[in-house]
Amino acid sequence: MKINCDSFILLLQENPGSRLPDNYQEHLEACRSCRDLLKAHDHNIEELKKRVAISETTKNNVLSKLQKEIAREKALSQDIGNQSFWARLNIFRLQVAFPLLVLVIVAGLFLVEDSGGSVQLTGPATVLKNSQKVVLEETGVKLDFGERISLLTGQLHLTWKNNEAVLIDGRLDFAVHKRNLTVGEGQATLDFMPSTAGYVVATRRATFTILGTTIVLDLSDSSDSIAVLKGKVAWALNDKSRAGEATAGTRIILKNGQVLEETFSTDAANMDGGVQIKKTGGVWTPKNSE
Amino acid sequence: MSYRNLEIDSELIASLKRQDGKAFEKLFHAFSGLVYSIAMGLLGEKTAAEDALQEIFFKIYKALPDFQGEKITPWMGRIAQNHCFDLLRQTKRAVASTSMPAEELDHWQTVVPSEELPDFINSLSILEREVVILKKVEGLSYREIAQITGKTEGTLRNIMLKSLQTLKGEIGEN
Repeated sequence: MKINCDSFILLLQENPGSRLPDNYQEHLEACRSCRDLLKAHDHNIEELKKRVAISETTKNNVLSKLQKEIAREKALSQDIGNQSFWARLNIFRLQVAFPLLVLVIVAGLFLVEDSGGSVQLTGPATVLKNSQKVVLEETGVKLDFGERISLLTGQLHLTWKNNEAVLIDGRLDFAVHKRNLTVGEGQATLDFMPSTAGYVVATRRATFTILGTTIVLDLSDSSDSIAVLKGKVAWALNDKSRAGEATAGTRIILKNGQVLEETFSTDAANMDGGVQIKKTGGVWTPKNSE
Repeated sequence: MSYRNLEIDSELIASLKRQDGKAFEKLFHAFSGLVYSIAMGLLGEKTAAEDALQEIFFKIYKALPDFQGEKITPWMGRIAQNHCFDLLRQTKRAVASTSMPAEELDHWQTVVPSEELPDFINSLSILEREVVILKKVEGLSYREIAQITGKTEGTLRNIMLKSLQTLKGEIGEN
């Protein structure tokens, strides 16, 4: 095979390192341009290898931090799991009469407030609407404000008339209002588009008004928590006894009628634009971007 | 332990899927070099790469039960790459106020030239950097790089050729 400058660069293209077959040596001896290229190639790759190498000390430090993070995560999951058990028992005792009464009153209020408005729903998703199973594709249907709907499977894209939107992925019973979303039972990921600042997420214990871009909700049967990663939220207990604002790096926990405020590092946040939460079992966690 | 050996260790993979602590530690020691070099190459800063390493492995830990038994190297490489792309999007928020598809990231020239990387690498686009690191530093095959980046082997060869021609051009200028 005749070796020339073109075949030499193709060799470098294929070779992971700089070990070259013998038949290239003759060309290299004769060609200064390729000699210079090889020299620059080897020098840059060696330099790059040094710069992107991780030291054993760094590796061990990162592993240690990681193991602590995993232990915290496990402890938190266990704690929430235990709390959920007792909370479920309490809820079972209380039955459904009182929540139903509250739901009827709230729904009535929203129906009055929301008369005339609607959002556009598009799929791909299967929903239960007016007790009928509906398969949604790109061509959407209208959902009136206050009308309850159940997402059974797929991804449901809700778009308000002002083009603000939320993507719901999973199973969820909910109702949409002019600038509110009331959620019931289910497991779903909710992605609020960045422009939906000012929207209100109503839980059983409080309302959270989105003023910034990125929050993580962690809702269990016994407590609500909201961690603000970017921007801020305004919060208010449903009985209006307390209210405030939480800025980035703050977590508000509502538990047993108490309001706890914690700070945390936002370094680990990898949220991109909107509110991203996911419920798995009884645990709400940030949505995994993978 | 090289990450190559992990590919065929089905017992270890089963332990990983159960989120076994010892198995995860083994995985970390085997793959931290690969993940760090991707992070360092794309982010260009040691501190950012170290933080990313921790975040990426935490994501990997959480994703392990869903691992479908595919090749583990490209699976982890993809998680590392996507995480770094997300971080780059965040630092370029003014440009990408809405989510930008990963394919468009390769059109970016270097985000910010890094003093911690050789000049030649700084002169390459994001995707070119990644290909050079995976091929020349980590010694992956084009097939493996294709599984991580989602590009065809032909495209990757062209990217490498273009990178080498850039280097050749720089020598000519000097």
